[in-house]
Amino acid sequence: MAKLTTIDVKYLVPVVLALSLLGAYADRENLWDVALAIACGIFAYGLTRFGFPIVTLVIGFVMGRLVERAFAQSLQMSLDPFIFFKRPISLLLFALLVLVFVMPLVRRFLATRRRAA
Amino acid sequence: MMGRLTFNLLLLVGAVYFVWSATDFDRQARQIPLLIGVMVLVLQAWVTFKAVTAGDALAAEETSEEPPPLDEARKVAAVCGWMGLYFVLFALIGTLPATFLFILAFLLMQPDVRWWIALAVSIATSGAIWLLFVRLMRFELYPGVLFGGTLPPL
Repeated sequence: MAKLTTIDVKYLVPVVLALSLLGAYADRENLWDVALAIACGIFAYGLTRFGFPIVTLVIGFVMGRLVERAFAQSLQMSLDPFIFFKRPISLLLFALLVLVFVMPLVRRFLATRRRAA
Repeated sequence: MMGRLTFNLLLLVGAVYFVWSATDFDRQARQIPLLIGVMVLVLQAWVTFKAVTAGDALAAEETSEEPPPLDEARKVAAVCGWMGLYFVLFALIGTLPATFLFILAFLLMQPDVRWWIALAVSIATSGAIWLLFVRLMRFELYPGVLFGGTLPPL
């Protein structure tokens, strides 16, 4: 099985390409899904090429539907759009989210100050 | 540099379209899409702005570490062409013949691949697909427009 990793890339490319596009077709048996998979491949190449992380996109794509459903469910159950700021766990998660956004900016600001000093 | 800027502008247009299409929804239904869309729009506008302002530094980085853009663009165009060819074959003659012909043609175009190896790989792959999808999973592969298949609506 380990020998598989030594196969020359030129043999793997057409086989993997064909199998992945066939997989795109097999999901809904729709021909246009193959075209969509090709378009998504080109788009993903652009993302990788220009420094956008693919992993976060995939996580968002996979988790997005679940999160959206849970979000709508919470809103319907509470009838209060601020419910996420009133419960401790969600409040903590929001605080962490804000921290994730703010920390790089703070770090950069501190680094600039240190360099200036 | 131009590629990066163009790609960022493309994403910005996508974000604008997302917000614009959300405004067509009912008042209740558009709240969340608008909230997410505006956030994405602002972040993408920021990234695009950074791509414009930091253009020279990024261009220097690109030329020093990565292959020449023309060579890379040629390779990308070649792969896109191959994928396009596979799609056309898939639509016209169906899954199995398209897979067989695509792999065979791809391998024969490579400089140091013998014809019988190309033939063996394409037969093996098509055979494995037939065995797995048709025989074991009872899956109906696309027959192709020329052999009775119909193009589904877009």
